[in-house]
Amino acid sequence: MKGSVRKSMTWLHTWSSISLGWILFAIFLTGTLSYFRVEISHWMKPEQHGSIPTEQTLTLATEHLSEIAPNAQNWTIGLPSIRSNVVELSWKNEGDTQRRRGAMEVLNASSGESVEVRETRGGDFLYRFHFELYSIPRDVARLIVEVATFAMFIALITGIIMHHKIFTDFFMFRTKNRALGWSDAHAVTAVLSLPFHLMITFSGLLFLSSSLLFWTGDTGHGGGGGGGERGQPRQEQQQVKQPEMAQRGEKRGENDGAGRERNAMVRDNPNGAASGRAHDDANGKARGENGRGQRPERGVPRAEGMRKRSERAAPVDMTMLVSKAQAQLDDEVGRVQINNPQTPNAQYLFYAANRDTLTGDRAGKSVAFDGRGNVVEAQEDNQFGNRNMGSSGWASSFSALLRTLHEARFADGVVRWLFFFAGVGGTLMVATGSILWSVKRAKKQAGQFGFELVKVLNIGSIAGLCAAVVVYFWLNRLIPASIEGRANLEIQGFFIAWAISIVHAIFFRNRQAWKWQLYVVGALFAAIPLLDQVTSPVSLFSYAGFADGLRVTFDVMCCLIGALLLATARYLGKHSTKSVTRAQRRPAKATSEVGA
Amino acid sequence: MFKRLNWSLSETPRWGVGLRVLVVVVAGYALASALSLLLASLTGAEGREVRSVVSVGFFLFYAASFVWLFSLPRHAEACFYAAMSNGVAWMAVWFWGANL
Repeated sequence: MKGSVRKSMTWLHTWSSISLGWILFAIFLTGTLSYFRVEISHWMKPEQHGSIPTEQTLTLATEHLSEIAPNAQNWTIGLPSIRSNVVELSWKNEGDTQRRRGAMEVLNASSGESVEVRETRGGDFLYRFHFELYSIPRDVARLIVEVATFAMFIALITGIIMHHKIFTDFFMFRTKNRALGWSDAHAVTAVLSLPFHLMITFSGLLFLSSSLLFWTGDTGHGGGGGGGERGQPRQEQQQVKQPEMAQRGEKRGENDGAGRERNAMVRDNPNGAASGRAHDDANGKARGENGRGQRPERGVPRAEGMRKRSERAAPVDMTMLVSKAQAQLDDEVGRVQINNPQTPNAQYLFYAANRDTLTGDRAGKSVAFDGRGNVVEAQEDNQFGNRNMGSSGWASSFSALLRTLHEARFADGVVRWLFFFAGVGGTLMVATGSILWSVKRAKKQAGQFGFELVKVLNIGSIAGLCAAVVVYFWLNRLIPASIEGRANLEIQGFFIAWAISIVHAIFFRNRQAWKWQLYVVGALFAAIPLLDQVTSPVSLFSYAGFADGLRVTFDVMCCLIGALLLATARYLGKHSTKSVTRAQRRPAKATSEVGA
Repeated sequence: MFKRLNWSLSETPRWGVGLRVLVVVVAGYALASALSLLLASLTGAEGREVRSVVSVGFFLFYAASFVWLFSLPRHAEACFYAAMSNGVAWMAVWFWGANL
């Protein structure tokens, strides 16, 4: 009976993995890179590289806003942090309906000048690809990703059951036998970060649960990313849900993060024109891909729909307010929102830069002051809507905990790197599993269509996706910044590189294809710092370059990936040389035996 | 149909494996749905919490039913237990799940 169970689990493990392994690899790789999505986006906008935060940054930002949006209803200032070196300004005029945060602009934190960044989707493209793929209808793509994630979850559980010596196997690495070597590599990468794999897979399932769940409920909860009901256009969903959501928004303590964000969207956008990308908006990343799209042209009157202000208040000492806020929050200030700016009833909301809870809301702690520095109760008319979480049940808390863990929203630099390495482990686990399938069947099934297809897809999806990603980075710097539609050109380059890799794999299905593709991709990854040095306006060896932790992080990450790929290519090259030598020896030996 | 399933595609009729997969996917889905609804009902979840309980429960129950129904050695057993468990679970939902 035991043998039967193990056999059935092995079968389930094998086929649930291999049938969706290539999609899983893409999801894992792009998801792992998304841990550094902010760093990637920063690297892909070299115009921002010269920005160095100073103590005067907030003052510069408010001065700039008072010039360009003097009559706005509110201003929001995203201050430089450990993961951002620019100031992100946004403001909303009364009657604005186009977006929650209205117009926006990016400022150089040291000079206070507006930064014209190139048109690119940056790390957001990889992040979106991770759970929505590309150019597939959103609901279909999410369903595909959800099914693949569930297959992964099944593979993990069955993998644990079938490996009755899972921890013994963990300490073995038998390189002499090819199949056993790949099996050991698969087991090591799986066991090394098994809790991470279980967490990331189950939280991924919860994120997109509305895609697969039989019952979405009438709760407006919608799953991460604003899932909503399937088969219904996004905008229509918004319009249908608005009255209900607005009503719910008034009940303090009954909404989760997604609910609160949507309530804010409903308030800000009574015409139902909100984009619905609440998932991004909550993290402050969906303010237009490059800041250019939302920015009004200079010289164009912005007075339409603005309030008339009869009286102006005296300028407020922002440095004093920030000090007070930091003392109150016991943390750095990450974002400032000023309601009714430059008026006597102005209100200053300061949001903490870091989260101190795994299950709390996305906005984190905040404190509000009036113009004299007195603590006041925050107005409800802020971008995150209802601030109080209230009590929630175990399942909601558990879901919120898993979602926070999945996105590593709480993570500092060290923990982010740990998550990245665990993600790399997961990516390698999927890759080694797919390769193991073909290695095990090489003797029996070589030449059969199914086997050859798996080989091509293995090369095309594993080496090919790595090639696509690195080409995406290179094109970002090689395509001139002023070209119209360059963001699309970058993405087209991504898919063209992927297609070339697959075509190459079709014609060279042997180890040479692996070797050469990995050599090229590894070299391109390893050369990223060089490309950065040559094409960025700020040298890596200058003070600004050295102090730019985001950029250095990205370059280090690329070097590590490049080194890993080059080492793999070298190993494959050595191994194939040995195989050829052995094959050459065999006929010679046979000839001598015949001669004797 | 009533023989033990040999988990090698080359030695087992493909229809047998296909049938088992179909049973597990469809019956497992129905079973997980019923059990997660039941869980939400029994834990007294209300409003938004129902959705969270159902989400968490559904995927756990679905995965468990995958493993359970695949580990049964005979197709007939798998079909029988899938039908029986679904019947019992949906009956329980009918009795105790009225407040959902």
